Amino acid sequence: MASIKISGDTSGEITISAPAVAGTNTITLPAETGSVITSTSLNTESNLVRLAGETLSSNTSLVEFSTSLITTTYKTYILYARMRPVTDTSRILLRFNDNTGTVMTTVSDYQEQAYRGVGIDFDDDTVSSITHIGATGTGTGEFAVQRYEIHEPRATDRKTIITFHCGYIDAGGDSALTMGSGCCSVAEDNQGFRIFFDNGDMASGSSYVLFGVKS
Amino acid sequence: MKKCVDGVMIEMTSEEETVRQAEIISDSADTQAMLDKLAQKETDKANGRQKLKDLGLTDAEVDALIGS
Repeated sequence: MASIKISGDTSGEITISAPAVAGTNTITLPAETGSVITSTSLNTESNLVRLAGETLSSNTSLVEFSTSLITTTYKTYILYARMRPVTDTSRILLRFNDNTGTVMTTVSDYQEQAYRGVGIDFDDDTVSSITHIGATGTGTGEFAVQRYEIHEPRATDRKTIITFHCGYIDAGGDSALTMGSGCCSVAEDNQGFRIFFDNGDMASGSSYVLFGVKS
Repeated sequence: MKKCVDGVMIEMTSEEETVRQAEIISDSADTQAMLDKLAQKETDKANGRQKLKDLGLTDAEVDALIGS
């Protein structure tokens, strides 16, 4: 492997290497002042910081994010979820923990408005979770893709606001859309959140990725 | 049953499984209540549209008033 070594002023050296099988390729340096972002520094330099993500290796009841990941470092979090249920006709739900870390499950805990591609719009100030309303299923090709933007979950003086955009293949095998917004009904430090299906597990092969958004 | 916490797969305790099973029952009930509300709203909308049409409004005029 051919390489160039550049010594540091004080110590050490940086080695720039070509791959063993290099082909005929050109890397052009930008005509500007700055630092090169590497695969290591990408997360710290980017405005979107990947905090967690995986493809579920087995059927899973819920995916939960605790205060280890949901901190005051970021005011906004983005969660992408690509979920397929184990049980037919299921809806992805989102729930938060209260300021003691206890999951909130009652209709006095959330409010939501949603606009749907099929069916009547939804507006309810007494819901027990944030829901995409329509159901996806277990038929061939059926699953749901959800993008949540979660704002100020750890603020003590603001209600956590959630905006979401869900595309899914409904239990009849057709395309469906739900877009909406909701909030936690009480302004408090919401110590984490979770997603899950309303009537069963997430199927193996479902996946998610969580980002923190730098202010 | 398993859960994923902060990217780590964990076997749920028997107590957690019990809570989860109870949540599935209550969540299914909440979902049905939500669907019932939406169905009632659909019915109210259709009834309201028909009453407007009975007054002589065209479908286009009703759409202009309340949306399609």
